[in-house]
Parts: sequence; structure tokens; C-alpha cells
Amino acid sequence: MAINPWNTNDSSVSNRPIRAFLHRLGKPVRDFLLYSSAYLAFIAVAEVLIVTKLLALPLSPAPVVAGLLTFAVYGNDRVADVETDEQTTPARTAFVKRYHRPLYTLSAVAYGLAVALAVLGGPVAFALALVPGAVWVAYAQDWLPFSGSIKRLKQVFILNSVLVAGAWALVIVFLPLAFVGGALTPRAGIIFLFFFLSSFVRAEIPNVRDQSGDREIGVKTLPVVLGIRGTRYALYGVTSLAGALLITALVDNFLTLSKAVWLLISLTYLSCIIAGLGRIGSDGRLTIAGECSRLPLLVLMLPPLF
Amino acid sequence: MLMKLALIGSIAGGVTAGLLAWRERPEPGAVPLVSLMAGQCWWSAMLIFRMEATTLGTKVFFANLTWPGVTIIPVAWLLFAFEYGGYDEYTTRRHVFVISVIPAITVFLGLTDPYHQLLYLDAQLVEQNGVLTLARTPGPWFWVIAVYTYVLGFLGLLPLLEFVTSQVRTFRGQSLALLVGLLAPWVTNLLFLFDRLPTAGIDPTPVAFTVSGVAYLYALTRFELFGASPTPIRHARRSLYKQMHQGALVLDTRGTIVDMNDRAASVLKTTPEDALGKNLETVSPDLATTGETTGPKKGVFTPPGTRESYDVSENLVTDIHDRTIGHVVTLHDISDLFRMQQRLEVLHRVFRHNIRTNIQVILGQAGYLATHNSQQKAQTLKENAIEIAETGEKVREIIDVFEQGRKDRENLRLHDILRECVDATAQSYPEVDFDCDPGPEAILVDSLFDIVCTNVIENAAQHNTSAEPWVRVSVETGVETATVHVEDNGPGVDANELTLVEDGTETPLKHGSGFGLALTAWGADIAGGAVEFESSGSGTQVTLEMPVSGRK
Repeated sequence: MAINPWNTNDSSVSNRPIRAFLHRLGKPVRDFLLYSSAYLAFIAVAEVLIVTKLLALPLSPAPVVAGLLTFAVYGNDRVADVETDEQTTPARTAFVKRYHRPLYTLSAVAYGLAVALAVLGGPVAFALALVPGAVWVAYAQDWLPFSGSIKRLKQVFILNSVLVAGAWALVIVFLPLAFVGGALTPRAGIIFLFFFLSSFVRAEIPNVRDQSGDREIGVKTLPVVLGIRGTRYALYGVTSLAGALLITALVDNFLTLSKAVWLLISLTYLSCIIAGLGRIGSDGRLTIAGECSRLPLLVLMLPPLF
Repeated sequence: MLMKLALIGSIAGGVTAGLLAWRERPEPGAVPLVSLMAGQCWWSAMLIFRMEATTLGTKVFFANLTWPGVTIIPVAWLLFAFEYGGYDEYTTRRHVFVISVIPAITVFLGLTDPYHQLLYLDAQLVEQNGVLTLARTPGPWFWVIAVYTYVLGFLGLLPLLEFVTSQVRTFRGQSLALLVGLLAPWVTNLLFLFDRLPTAGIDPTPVAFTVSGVAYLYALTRFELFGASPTPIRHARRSLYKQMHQGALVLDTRGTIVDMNDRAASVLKTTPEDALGKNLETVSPDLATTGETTGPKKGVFTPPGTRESYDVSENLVTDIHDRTIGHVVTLHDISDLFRMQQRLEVLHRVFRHNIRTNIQVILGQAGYLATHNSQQKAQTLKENAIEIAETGEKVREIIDVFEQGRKDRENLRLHDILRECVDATAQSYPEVDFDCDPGPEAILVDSLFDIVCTNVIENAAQHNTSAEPWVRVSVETGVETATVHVEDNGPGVDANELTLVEDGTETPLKHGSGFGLALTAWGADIAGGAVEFESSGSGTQVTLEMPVSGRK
């Protein structure tokens, strides 16, 4: 290759120390946000804000509680699955192994704060705050004291994702309702179903990346059982169901047009991610993109929210 | 408002402490502590809901719902104390069932109280400082569960009191933190029951559990509540390890030394005060890495900087549920056996080498004599035969020293030993000039030194090829030791022969090497003394240090 002696690229040379400093500063923060799944806590906060707006509820501590719960549950899950995740997510596993004690302690503190704050929302909010913890115990731990006799729920086909999606949707939708003592309206039910179905899709997207690891440890997921192509079709089906639900709700006046369109945009974004499964090289980025699938919705709703 | 904030803080602390304890399963005490924290949080949450409620019915509903949390706490506390203290024979399902009968009845009575009023006789709303509070008159069963709770609390104290006076700082700290955690709510509850607290009829006991939460967290983090557990101690003591002659260490499942006998402390060159509560890898990295990396430890451990050897074996300590709760590592002193094995190996090697050399010479000379008549060859043959006989004699003497080493020996006067030895040697080697100062007459030493001194003085005379040979013997005496110096002006000792007497050292053998020096070095060692050789081309100085057995 010919070298042009006049092209010294001065700016990049002079910026190198600054870039190195920013890299050094940024990497630990990025690693923490990504590998501890703290970013999921922010997504949970965003989703509760979206539900608050969709159900026209006043602001409450619910988003903070949901964020803390999410951080706690996923932090615990990362620590519990550190051995089985080694093959599928080596960088994250290395981070979790290195910081497993502080990560577990932070998760415990976050859950303690979440439950304590949830008590302010009344008995229902308190019970909802206990749900993710209970599901986490059932999901990632052997049952006590019957360990060995009951199969880990995590290994049961479909039920594993149903549990995750159910717990997630339950907290996201009903926590803000519980905090303000809101009524269980049909609109709340529809929003819950929508979030349940789309969360189910989101729960299955990372399973494409984890396919070989899950097969080795005997966990049955859609990609393990149906293959990647079959998984795409199955997830298109679930997404279509969620779309049909939104259209029905719109027709029956349970949702306004603008809100239905916002949710459909989020659903379209999710469909694009499903289309990329097995076709785009980085399944890890698709996983994060899937987890962030509701962020465009938040951006659309943010100005009127505040 | 202040009470509400305190209750919320109590819940946050309780849930956090519970989750941290949950991580430590199956460490003894972890599950009961989780249950205790769960009960505390439930109680606090129900109290908040009761405070928030505005009608009598709702307040009574949440007050009755408090009972599952209230009653699980003493049961969990007692089970925790039993597991923590190593009394896990009282934590079987049968025991848990029996302990839980009264709390279960209480929960049932609490949920059905309006139908029988056994727990509370009445309930009414009372306005205190502008706040509506629930006022109830305790019924007969209330006092049953109150007394039962305090009895369980007191029983749980007993195993902890045992550790409050423990010599292990960690366990003292753990026990004190746990006692503070227990006593804070107990005292608060007593003051409330006897109407000594201005809380407008609200039981502040759960708030006191904030103190418990902090104390338990402190015990968890500062004193490694589950990291350094005293649970195995009691089980190990059942094995009477204190009476063992061997060194014994009790480790918990993480390798922390939780108990050790004095012998083990002596072997590891430490004290129980220094070592207890620390990991074995910190106290003795060499012992920690002795043996297989997996499975029970088994091997030979040599403390750094010593010539001692210990046979290391490890046994699991299990509780009645067959869970491993620790290990007992025993150190059996095999220094003598180990050293004896090394000596026998050296002896065997030298013996075979010398005999083989002599026989080869004899065979060669015999072949020549079969066809020739040679006086010189016959003489060489005879000398080698005599050497074989002498080798046999030396080996017999060494074996004799080994045998005497295993027996109780008498003490002899050092003065007499040296005098007789010098006189006998002087008769055998009249050309050698002897100068002997045998020291004070009263000094008594082990009779093995008779053989050792005889060997040293004989060698000094026998191998002295100087034109004017001399041997000087002198004694220095101290309070506990006597030192004998034997000097000569002979040709000195070969360096190879000196290295041979170092245990286990492999050296190229030369004919005739080893036996005299080996007898001296090994004999002195068996008798509890030490020997040093300083050799040059103009002579040798042997320094024999021997313990004084008495004075007579």
C-alpha cells in the first residue's frame, strides 16, 4: 500500500490520549450497564412510564420500583446462571464472575428497596413486588427442599418464556395501577395482554443466540425445538396476535388511534428484529435491540408525558 | 410518619439481609435466617397497611394477617441458633413440626379470631394525637403465644452465649451482633406489652428489627457470619480431638480454621489466638497445598525450615443430615520414622556398595592366585576380607544405635565416658598423643553418647596419618547442654563423606565412605544432640552438642 507522507492525520494523533481516557472511563460504565443488565432496569422504568401514559394514570413511585425490581431479578439471574452462560455470553460471564459478590449484593439491596417502596403502594403493589422474586426463585433455582425431584422450570418448553413474560407484564402494567389505586379496566387488560405477548417474543429472541448452549444443558426453547426458521414463524405468529389484539381494541374503542399507532410502531420494530434472526451475524446485538424494542415508543410519547 | 419510614427501612434492610443469607445456602443457619427476615418484613408490611387503613374492619384484617410473620420469627430464631451452634440434631423435620405447632395454631386463631376471640377479646378505634389507632384487649391465647415466643427466644440464646466467650474473635463478634439483633426487638416488645412506650398503641417491635437487620448485616459482612462458621466445632469435639497426641485442625467448608489443638498450633508455629478465624491458606500455605487438590487431603507435610515430617490426613465432619459442615485435618508426627527410613536407605546403599567393591577385589585376586603364587595378592585378599568383617561390625553398631534409640536409656557421666574412651583408644594407638580435659564429673548425658564419642575419638586416632599425630578432647558445659570438642591433626574428612550424613542426600559413593560419620551423626541426633564437622587438610574438629540429662 502506498503511503502518503503529507497525510499525517494530525487530529487523530492529538486526540489519542483523550480518546484513550474516554475509553478507559467509558468501558467500566458500559460493562456495568450491559453485563449487569442495569440497562434493562432503565427499560423497565421506560415501560412503566409508557403504561402510565397509556392508562392515563398520575405519576407514582411505580417506575422506580419496577426499575429496582428488574435490576435485582436480572442481577440475581446473571449470578445464578454464570456457569451455564459461559459458552453463549463469554464477555458477560467474565464480568459477572469478576464482580459476582458486589453484583449479588447490589441486587439484594435493590430488591430490598423495591419491596420497601412497593409497600407504599398498598397490598397489591407489595404482592406484585414479591412476584418477580418468587418467579426468579422458581425460574433459576432448584426448588427447596425438593431439589432434584421437581424439574427446573427454566428447562420446561414454552413455560420458561411464559413465566418471564407473565411476570414482566404483570409488574409493568399492574404496578402503576396498584400505586394509584386504579381500577382494572378492559383497557388495562388489553395493555397487559399486549405486553405479555410482546414480552414473550422478547424472551425468545435471546434464545436464538443461546441455542447451542441451551441444547447442551437440556433447556428446551423455541430455537432448540423448532430451529431458527421455525422460531421466526412462531414469533411472527405471536406478534401478529398482538397486532390483531391492538386492532380489535381500536375498533372497540378501548384504545385511541394515536395510542394504537404507537403500539403498532413498536410491534413493527419487533417484527424487523424477528426478521433478522439467523440472518444478521450478531445475535447479541439483535437481543439488545429486542430488549429496547419499546424505546421508540417512549420517544414518541415522551413530550406529552411530561 | 417517622414510624412509617422506620418500618420501610426495616423492610428494605430485612429483604436485603434475607437475600444475602439466601446466597449462603446450604451453610448452617442460612435458611432459618431467611425465614426470620421474611417474618420480620411481613410483620412490618402488615403494620404499615394497618396504619394506612381507615376502618376498624380493615385495621383488624391486617392486624390478624400479621400473625404469620410474628410467629415465624421465634421458630426461625431457634432453628438458626441450633444450626449455628452445631445442635442440628434438634433441626429435624420432626422437631421443626413440634416447634411450629403453637405458632400454626396461633396463625389459625388469628385468621378466625372474630369467631372465638381467643387472641383478642375486643377491638375498637381510638383517636390518639389525631390519629386513629386500633386498640385490642389481649385474650388468653395471646399470652400463650407471647410466653412461647419468649421461651423460644431464650432457648435460642443459649448456643450463642457459648460463643460470646469464644477465644475466636470472629465468633465473639458474630454472637454479639446476633444477640443485639435479637435483644433489640425483644426489649422493645416487652416495653410495648407493659405500656412503657409512647407509640399511640402501635407495636414498634418491627421497627426494632431495623436494628436487627443492621446487626445481622454487620455479622454477615464484618464477621463473615456464613464465611467463618463455628458450627463444626461441637461435632469435632465429639471425636475428643483435644486428647489426641496428633495435631488437629477443624476447618469449616471454606477452609477457615475454626478450632485447633495446641499440638497443631505448635506444628504450624502459630497460636490458636492468631490462627483461628483465618483461612488455612493464610496460616500455612504449605499445609494447604499438601496432598491431592481434590478429595480428602492425604500426604506428608514438612513445615518450612524444619526437618520434621507429618502424615496429613483429612476427615469430613457431617451433620445428621449427612451434609458436610467441615473437615478435621490431623497431623501425625512421622519425623522419626521418616528420618529412620532415609537412614536405612543410606545405610543399605553404602553397605551394598562397600561389600560389592571388596568382593570384586577378592574375586580378582583369587583368580590371580589360582595360577600364581603371590604373597602380595594374598595379603590384599586378606585385607579386603577383613574390611568386609569391619563393615559388618559397623553396620551392627549402627543397627544397635537404632535399637537403643527405641528403648529407654540410662544416663552416664560424661566425664567417665570421655576418660574411658580416651584411655582405651590410647592403648590401641600408642603413637598418638592424647590431650583430654573431660570436664566436670557431675554432668550426666544419654548413654548413646558413649558410642558416639567412642566412634569420634577412635576415628580421630585411627585415620591420623600425621608424622606427629595428636588428638585433643575438651568439654564446655552450660546449664542445659554440654559441648565436646574433638580435634586432630589428621588429613581431614572428605567432603563427599560429610554430605553423606545429611539425610536423604544422594552422593557418588567412594569405597569405605560413610559409616563412621553416619554413626556419629545419627547417634547424636537420636540422643537429642547435634554434631558439626569442620575439616581441612591439616585436621578435623568435631563439635558434639548434647543435652544435659542431670547432674550427679
